[in-house]
Amino acid sequence: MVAFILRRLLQAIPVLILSSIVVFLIIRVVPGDPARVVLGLDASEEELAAKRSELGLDQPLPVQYFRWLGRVAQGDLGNSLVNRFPVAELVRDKLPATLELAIASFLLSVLISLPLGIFAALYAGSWGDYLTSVVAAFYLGTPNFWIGMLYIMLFSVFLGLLPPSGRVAFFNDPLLALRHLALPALTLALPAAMVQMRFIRATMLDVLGQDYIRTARAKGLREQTMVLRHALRNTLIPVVTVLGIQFGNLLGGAVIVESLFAWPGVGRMLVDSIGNRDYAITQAGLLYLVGLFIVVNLVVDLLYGFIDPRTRRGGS
Amino acid sequence: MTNPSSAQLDSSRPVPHSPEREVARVGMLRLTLRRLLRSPSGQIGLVCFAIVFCAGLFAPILAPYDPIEQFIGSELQPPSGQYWLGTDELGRDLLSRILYGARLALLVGVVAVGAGSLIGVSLGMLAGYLGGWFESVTMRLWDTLLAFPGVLIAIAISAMLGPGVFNVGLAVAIISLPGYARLARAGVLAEREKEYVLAARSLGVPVPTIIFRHILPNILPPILTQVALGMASAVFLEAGLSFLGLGAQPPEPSWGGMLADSRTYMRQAAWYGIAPGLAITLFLMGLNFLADGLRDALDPTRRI
Repeated sequence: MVAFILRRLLQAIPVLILSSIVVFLIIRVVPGDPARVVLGLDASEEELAAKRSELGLDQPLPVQYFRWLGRVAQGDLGNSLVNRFPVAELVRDKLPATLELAIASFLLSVLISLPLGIFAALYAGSWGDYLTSVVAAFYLGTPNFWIGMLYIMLFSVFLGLLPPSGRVAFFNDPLLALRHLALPALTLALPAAMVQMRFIRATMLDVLGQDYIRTARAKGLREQTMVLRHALRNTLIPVVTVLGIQFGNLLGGAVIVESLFAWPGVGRMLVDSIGNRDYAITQAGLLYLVGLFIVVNLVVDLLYGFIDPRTRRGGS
Repeated sequence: MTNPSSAQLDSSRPVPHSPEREVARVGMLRLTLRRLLRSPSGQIGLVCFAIVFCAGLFAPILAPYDPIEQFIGSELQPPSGQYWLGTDELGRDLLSRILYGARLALLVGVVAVGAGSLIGVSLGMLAGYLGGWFESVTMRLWDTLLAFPGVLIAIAISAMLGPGVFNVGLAVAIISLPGYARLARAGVLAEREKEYVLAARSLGVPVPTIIFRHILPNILPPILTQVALGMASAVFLEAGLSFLGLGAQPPEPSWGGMLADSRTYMRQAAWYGIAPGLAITLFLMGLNFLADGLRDALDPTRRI
């Protein structure tokens, strides 16, 4: 197990290095001079040169990269080019909102997909199965930001049941916080739930066709016991991987949904920073989201090795 | 090409139904197309795709107005005989903008899928055929690319290169590379030791000819499914990035951009956001159905 964990950690290193290079390059290849962004249009050439030297922009790119990496490792992400706030603090303020949304959507998607997927597999070919397929096709073929807009129109504008935007911290007013969370979480959760449902259905159908299920049936095991104890357990092994990938995708999808619902998370900060040309924040936002994504994938892989011992063997 | 007389001869004889015989008779690609046209998913997908394709192609003929012409005094008009889908906040005809928006969606889809599949399939096939360090290096690269969420890569590229339709297409092409490459590599690995490849190799046929003339036609069908899915993801990302203001720039008509603009007017003009949303959904669902139909057509055992 230790060897497996070490091997998986080593595999994550090239991904981390490459992603850090991509994120680093963003601020270097954007059109325009970061020194001019800081100092404004009326800065003289001498002032610009001094600023470039202060920011380390006059050094070769590899030197700049390693210096930047060193600072990032110490938690220093620089200052916002627009309002001079330390970026690390800004991201730390926004991160709980993004995690809250991603975790809530993830839990909601599992709560929806697991029973629906099992139902669709057990009753494959029934009208209920077809209905879930049609609903899944609709959600998979519809952009989540449009569905989110339809939710706002229905639940906020016409029915006035839920707030259309904003966030309330959970510990200040739990009920109000949940009301604010409902629409963005539902918007993110449903398409993810449909992907998971289809996967759970397909995997469960596969498992239900196996010999040991036939044996279980033949020895007169109750259907419920057979499904819960034998089929579901074996279905869940590959499902864990898909759930992990889905959680990562929720982090990516949150960027658009956060912007739609004015949810004060890292995703919205990222989009706003691109509009403001505040590349220090763009860099930090991407670094955090990509880092989180990689960590989630790593945890899922390790979890997978834990659940299914066969994956621990064999490096190549 | 199938000889019509032999086809007639075949159909008049009681031929036992076997997929292998059918493949041998009409060829894998043509058989796939035939099955696609017979499957309900394929039919729905093709119809939806054809609607959007024709809307985009004939937009100048079909559109009642210029998509960027502003009719002062006709702002946020509801659907009527004059403006079938209503007007936006600047008095522009929504129907015309949606028709021209189809062009943009198609353009991004075609550019992204064209570039992505061409480069991805070529690199994947070379990796599969040559093996060695080339395969190791490119496969690690694809693994790394797959480690990022697609939306984030697209946003990062837009941040680097600036907003615009071309950059969105480029971003989507880059995101789609690993999918094509892995599929092509897997196909080549399955084909490379088959007799026809060994025969071509022993005859001294150059490697590029073996790869692109002999192997490619045999591994093309699953790649076609990926093309349909790739186009769907391109359309989705273009709409998403335009929604965030990172894709098509005003006054260019894009479906995602129109949805973003309509957010401000949800109370006064609820219809504004419906039509562009439906257009994206029609196209995306069509492409998803097309991919489903292709998958079924390629694998007759998938019937559930």
